Amino acid sequence: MSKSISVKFDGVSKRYGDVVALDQVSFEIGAGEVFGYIGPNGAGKTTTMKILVGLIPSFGGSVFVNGHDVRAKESGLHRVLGYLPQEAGFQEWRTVDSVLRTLGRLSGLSQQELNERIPQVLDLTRLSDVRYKRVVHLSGGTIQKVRLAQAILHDPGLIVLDEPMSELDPETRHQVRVMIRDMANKGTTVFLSSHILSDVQDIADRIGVLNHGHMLKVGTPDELQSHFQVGNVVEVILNRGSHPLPSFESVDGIERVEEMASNRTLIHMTHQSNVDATMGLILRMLVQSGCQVRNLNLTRPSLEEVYLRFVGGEP
Amino acid sequence: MTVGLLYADEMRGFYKSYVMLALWVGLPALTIAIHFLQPLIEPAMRDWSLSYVVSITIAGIGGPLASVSLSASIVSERNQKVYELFLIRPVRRSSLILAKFAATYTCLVVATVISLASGMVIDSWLGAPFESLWNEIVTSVVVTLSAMAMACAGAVLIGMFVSSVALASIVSIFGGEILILVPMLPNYFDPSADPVPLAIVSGLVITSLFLVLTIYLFNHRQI
Repeated sequence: MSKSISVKFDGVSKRYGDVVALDQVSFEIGAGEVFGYIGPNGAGKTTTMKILVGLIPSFGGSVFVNGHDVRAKESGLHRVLGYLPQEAGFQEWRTVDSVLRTLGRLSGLSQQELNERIPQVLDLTRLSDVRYKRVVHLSGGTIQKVRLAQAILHDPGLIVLDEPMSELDPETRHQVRVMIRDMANKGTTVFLSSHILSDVQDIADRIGVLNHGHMLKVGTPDELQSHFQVGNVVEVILNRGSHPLPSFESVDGIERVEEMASNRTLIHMTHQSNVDATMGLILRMLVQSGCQVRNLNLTRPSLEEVYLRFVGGEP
Repeated sequence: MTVGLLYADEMRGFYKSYVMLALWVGLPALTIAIHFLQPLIEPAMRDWSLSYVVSITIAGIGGPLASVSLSASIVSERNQKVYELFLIRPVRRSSLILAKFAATYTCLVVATVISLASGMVIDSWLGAPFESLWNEIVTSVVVTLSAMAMACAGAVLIGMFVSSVALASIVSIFGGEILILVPMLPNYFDPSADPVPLAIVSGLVITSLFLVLTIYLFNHRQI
């Protein structure tokens, strides 16, 4: 199997008793693409990923990797797959080095390849200092980096990351985002879920939104915004002691006004509004009211806003 | 090859987590302690050789010891989702099961051999005769090894399908105690019957059945 790996879910369904975890889910991930997967807890994200990596052998529909059915023994998937599970533990006796050595050998790397590759991966994930420490003695964030290290150890062509950013500090999250983009630039296909939507928005080429086992929409971040029709937002910051804002509530093109602080207000436009005309109108009203404006910003809605508006609940 | 890798890894785990030390030092030490202390309670044991005491002690605790240690470790590792990272690699589920079984069984066999050898060495040093009880010792060891194999296989089955360590331990103790009785069944009907042939046959058959059943169920189960 080549480095460029594409994935196709075709009408995939999975039930746990009476509970429908996935219902006719279909989507494709192109070779070298970073595909973000978002949805509330219990939406079916982890089930989707476990089906892809072979941990759930029984399901309806089909999943293809480079055209090979993942259920076929000759799919060769396991040799080119890297997987970071949402939660995966390690035996108490294992050191970081032992984790990578054992899992690397099982992935087909020789001892010589491991001797070269382990220091590289430890360096990349900044784990070199804890190489010979027992995993159980490490912090949650560091253990998450060990999980990431084992996933990329054998330089897989397809990497599946289930909540890779959880438990990571902001600096490490940034490193991981850069790492994921670098891997994609080198041709690795990345399928990742995250509850930190800004991370997904930053690195994903396309995003799938899953809710209650149904795929609501697949598209680029721009397409999602357009599809879910969330308007732009104008942030107004006034000088202290300025005249208060005029009422925008009944103005054409404005959906609602949100007061964030005594001098900071967010004005949400409707998705159909003409941005330039509405901005002009807002400016005129501010000037006519004698407001002393310190700052005026036009911002596009974040993925989080789109998500909360149309999926709701906790991501 | 994968089974070999996993087996070596399990053995490394036993070594690093001091399970080997506990078994290979603890078991002989326990039997020697029983030999020297038990006659205070049971005077008849004063005449028994240490080798014989070793063989009957291991026969009594070998099966349950195997079951509990293996099933508890499997449940614990399953609950920590340790196996996910193995099974997304080119590793058959059967390999994982066989490696666990083989590594635990190896440790127990070695512990038995060390215990017995220690007993014989001490018997020789003390000038205590164990040759007269040789047949009983061999019978006891064969029955024990057979029961250990069945108990290990049963423990893998329990470990793969029970979610609580406490429940797995309880079921394993009961199961281990029952399995040790299987090779003794002929003696129930005929006290002079030789339990060795049945021990070997039942060991092979029941162990294989447990392992095949575990592999079949595990192959169709979500991790």
